[in-house]
Amino acid sequence: MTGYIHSVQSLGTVDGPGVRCVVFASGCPYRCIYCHNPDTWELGGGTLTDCDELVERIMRLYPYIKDGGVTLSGGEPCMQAEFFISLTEKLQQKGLHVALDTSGAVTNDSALELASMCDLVLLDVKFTTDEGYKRYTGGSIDGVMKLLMLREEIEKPTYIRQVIVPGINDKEDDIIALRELLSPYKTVEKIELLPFKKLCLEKYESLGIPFPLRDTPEMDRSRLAELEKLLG
Amino acid sequence: MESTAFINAWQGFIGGSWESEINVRDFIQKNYTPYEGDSSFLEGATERTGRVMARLNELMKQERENGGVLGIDTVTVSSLTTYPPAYLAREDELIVGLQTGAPLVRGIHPFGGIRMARSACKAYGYKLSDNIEHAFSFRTTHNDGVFRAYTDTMRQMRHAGILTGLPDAYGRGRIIGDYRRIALYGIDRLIDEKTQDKQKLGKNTMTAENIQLIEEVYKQIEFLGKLKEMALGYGCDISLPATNAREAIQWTYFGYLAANKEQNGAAMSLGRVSTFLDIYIERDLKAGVITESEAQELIDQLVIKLRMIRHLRTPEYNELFGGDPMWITEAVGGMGEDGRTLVTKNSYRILNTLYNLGSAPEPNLTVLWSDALPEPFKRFCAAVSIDTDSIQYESDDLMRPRFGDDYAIACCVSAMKVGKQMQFFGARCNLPKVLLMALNGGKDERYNMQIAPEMPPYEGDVLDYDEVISRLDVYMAWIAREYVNTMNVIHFMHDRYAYEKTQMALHDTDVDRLMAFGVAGLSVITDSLSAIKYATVRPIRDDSGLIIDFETEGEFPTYGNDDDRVDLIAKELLHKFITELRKTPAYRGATHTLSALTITSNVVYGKKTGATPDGRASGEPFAPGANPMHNREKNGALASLNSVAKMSYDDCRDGISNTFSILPDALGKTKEERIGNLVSILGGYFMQGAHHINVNVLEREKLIEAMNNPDLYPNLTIRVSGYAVNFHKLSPEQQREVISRTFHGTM
Repeated sequence: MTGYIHSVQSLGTVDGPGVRCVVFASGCPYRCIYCHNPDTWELGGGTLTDCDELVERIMRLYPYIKDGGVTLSGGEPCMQAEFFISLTEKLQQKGLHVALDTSGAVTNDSALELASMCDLVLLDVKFTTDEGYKRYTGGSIDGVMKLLMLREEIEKPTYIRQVIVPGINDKEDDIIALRELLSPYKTVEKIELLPFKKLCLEKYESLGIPFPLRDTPEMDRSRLAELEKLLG
Repeated sequence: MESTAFINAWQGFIGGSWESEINVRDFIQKNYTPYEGDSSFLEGATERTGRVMARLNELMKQERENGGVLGIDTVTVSSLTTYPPAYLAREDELIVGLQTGAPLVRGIHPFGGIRMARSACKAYGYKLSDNIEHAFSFRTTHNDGVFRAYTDTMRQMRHAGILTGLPDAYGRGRIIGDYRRIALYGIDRLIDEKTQDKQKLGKNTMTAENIQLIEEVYKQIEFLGKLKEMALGYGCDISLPATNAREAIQWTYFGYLAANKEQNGAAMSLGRVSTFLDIYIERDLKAGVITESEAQELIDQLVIKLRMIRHLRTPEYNELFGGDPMWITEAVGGMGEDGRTLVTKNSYRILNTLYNLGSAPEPNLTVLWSDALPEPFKRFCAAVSIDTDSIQYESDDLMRPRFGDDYAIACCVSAMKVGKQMQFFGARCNLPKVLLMALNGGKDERYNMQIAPEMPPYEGDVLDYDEVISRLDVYMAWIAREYVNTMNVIHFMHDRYAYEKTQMALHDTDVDRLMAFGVAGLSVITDSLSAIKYATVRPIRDDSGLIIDFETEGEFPTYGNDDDRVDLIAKELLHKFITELRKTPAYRGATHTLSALTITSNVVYGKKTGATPDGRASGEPFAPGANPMHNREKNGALASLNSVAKMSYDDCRDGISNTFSILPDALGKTKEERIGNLVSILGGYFMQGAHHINVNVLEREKLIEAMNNPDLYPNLTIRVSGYAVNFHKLSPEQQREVISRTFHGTM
């Protein structure tokens, strides 16, 4: 089985617990205005990779990641759910913890299967309203809600992440709304607010794509820390 | 009377063969207390230590303002008893002894080479005294001897920079006296043993080797006597063993101090003293003679003394070994052969000095990492790395089976059994230059000078891998032989004219010898060969037909991405080189070893090397040690570590150095996460058979700021290649090179 892979980052420490290998899938149906990986948008932009070869590559890192694991990220891994189901099965057989980093953009049957089998889901809740989704991502809020419920049903842990962008979702009310939205879900173990950064500017330039938030300032860290307190 | 003294000094210790023979390891094994707990017992610096350190900080500030050298005693030849006793802050000093007549003032060591002493004085605005000049006009120095025997080819190789960093003008260093012996046995017992050895040697046939050794033992005994006299100047009678913790530390330090008064070796390791000293500290703690705070105070004060060691160097030397390093390497931790950890509370205390006294490059604290180390100790080390960027790690699981459990590290990565093995240190061979020489039929690419045996230069338009390899084989065999011969000349002369009398007195007489060769530019030659193999490389020639540049077209795998296609080229190169070196016998029957370690000399090596097929421009720095070339690592930190871990320690018994820099954010969000993740990274790396790693956890921006405003960061310490430096002590060129290196970041 093969899948389109953008890249493999051998050392990840911020996408799930412990030291992790992060596999970046190619292809994403969303076009979030603050996306920091525009180079992963196109499915065909990645390298067609054999699943067993990828397992072999990841297993070379086993001694480092045995207590951490592997994170499937992207792009949107659920766009190639079949491939990642196969990869996840194989990694879990080797005793590795697998996390899925998804935005809920795809929720077909295989995507839900992938989301069920992963040990952890890092769920990117981009906004708390459907309006926010429509305006800034080109998608809808239904997907993340579906995944939240799924994880709740099967009682498996979920971490929530949201990128905080000045002027878009950095008001106190925004954070309180996020907290309220998530409060019924017992499987949500962590809510992380990530600061909007502009390290991706160069990528946009080299791809010849205009960056919509070019003039938006980066998120202030101390302000972010203040907002985090609202999560309780 | 003497036996009573021994009974008192050894009271409470468990006896063993260490009593009847010189055997520090046996003493440690019988008496040490492994510690598996955490760091919560540690104490901060006392007020007294604070005052001593404040005085030192004041002097170091003056030293900085003075261009890096506070003063030079130009009229005295440095030796054990040539200076009167001197102090830093006499009232408050618990451990005493300075190298010269005043703190931080540098001494003259003319036995290695009078020229070096003269030009180093001159470089800092001093003049070597006429008396010394006159006296040494009648003496042969090590440097004189070497140049008498050097062949024309050796001089040319040195000049062109194919071999660089040869210890032919100063002390060779890399010899570790077993300074612990002084504390455990006292000088008189050591003199007795050496006297008996000398008598035994007298019964042998008087071959040149035997006569040489007899004379050396004579000198050893003479200098043990001077060592006693030196200590007596400070009011300490070290003829008998130490009776308490303070004396044990003081006696041990006197040995180390004496070695530095006698020798200006390029690397003067301390050895492996912390667990040994813990035995004395534990005894005193149990007896209620000292408190934990006082125990820490003694170690803090020892480390203050170590941080004051200085040698006078020339600007050329500093270019190679940037940042005024001493390599006062102390091996900390590790496991015993019986499975008990060698970590003691004192392993924690010596690391704790980085908090109590502030971070600093010396002593070069080297953690001997084993998978079996107690978890709390692993976590403490990781925390110290994150906080101070001042420690390095080496694989005890690799070294213990080969060197036993009482080895130490000379310089950065060179293991040897303490007191039982010594090393003939020998610089490095510039492998990318050998490749260029192979293409140019034995001519140097920068000087257009025939150095190696002539062969027609490479003629085709495109470099063919197999043909390049067969040429390289010829020239590697040639350089290997020349290299061993050059080293043999250097070490013959060093033994003859600048023999390490104090340090060798603290070794077994029947010592095992290693000869340590090195390579520079491993990643450059590896990526160059990969380019030739997987891409299209066209040589560019000047008017005379000399190949001076390359045009490389197409993609090729680079070292540092966990890609066997190229990583195995590097591995094979090292194997080939040590195999060739072994074909030429080494002086005094030494065992050939090899390292991939450059110190900061990777900058100078690069400067002396023309353009290479990997796309590196002429004069550009190499990557240090066994590091992948900067910014060619595309798959992240672990893939890069995996590439380095593939190099075989059995080919590189003198060490494989890797310097790893990572941004704090890339290691995790919280301090706790960062500690856990660093422990996982180190564990994973060493589990794959890797040998060494320097860890820096810092932001590139901080270095740039420190480069522009050095006064704001007087103590900013970073690990470079096998050692740590004060960043401000590096040359601007070296600083730029450090900044340009890969800093593994978040995605």
